[in-house]
Amino acid sequence: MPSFETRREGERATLTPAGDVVASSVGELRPVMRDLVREGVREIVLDLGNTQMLDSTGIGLLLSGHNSLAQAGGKLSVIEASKDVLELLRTMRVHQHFDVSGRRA
Amino acid sequence: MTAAKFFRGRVAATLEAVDQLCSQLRRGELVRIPQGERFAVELLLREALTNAVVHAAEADEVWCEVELLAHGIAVRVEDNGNGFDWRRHMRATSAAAGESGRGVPILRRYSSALRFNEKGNSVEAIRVFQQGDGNA
Repeated sequence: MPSFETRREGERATLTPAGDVVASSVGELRPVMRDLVREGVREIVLDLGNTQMLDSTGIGLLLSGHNSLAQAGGKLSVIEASKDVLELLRTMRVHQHFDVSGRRA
Repeated sequence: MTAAKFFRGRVAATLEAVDQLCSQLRRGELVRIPQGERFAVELLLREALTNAVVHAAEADEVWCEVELLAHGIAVRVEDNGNGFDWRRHMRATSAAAGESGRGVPILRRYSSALRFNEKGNSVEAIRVFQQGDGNA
């Protein structure tokens, strides 16, 4: 079973990991994000609705994606983050680099 | 769910083994953690273990302890490698857009006290629970 879903609409893509975004799983996500940018995607929305845990390696992946998109004139955003993941992103000041938002009630 | 207050175990120096142990912690199979603290405790354990697996020079054996304290928790990880330069990582800040180096800053932000041994192959993170009690 794939560990993520990708939905593409022109220059926008939504990437939904199936579970945690941590050291063991970023290896699979990183080339996907890189290839999307190479293929001309300029907006990546990372949907963390299925993600309970994000670690420092996962944060590194988000920033890597942000940096690649920014260089190409695009942007990354994170949606559907759990309360704990949202707090982590804000504590580590990741929200200063790109939009992050939590789960709808 | 266990009622245990102390866990000590050997972990293979692989990311898969880190995931497995963290899953056990999340399911309450290691020690009983208050609901509101479970994310923070798992994050501390995960970062300390991942640090040992990824950065520990020549480590093939990792030990971890999770101990429930009166008003918090202690997470301890030790490996049999040659250590790493934790002092450099302690000086790192979290605000930059760099893609790496956030493991130790996360350990610092999520613990009340953080201590590495001189060599850098052993770490202890103490977290005082913010909910006020130790009830799960």
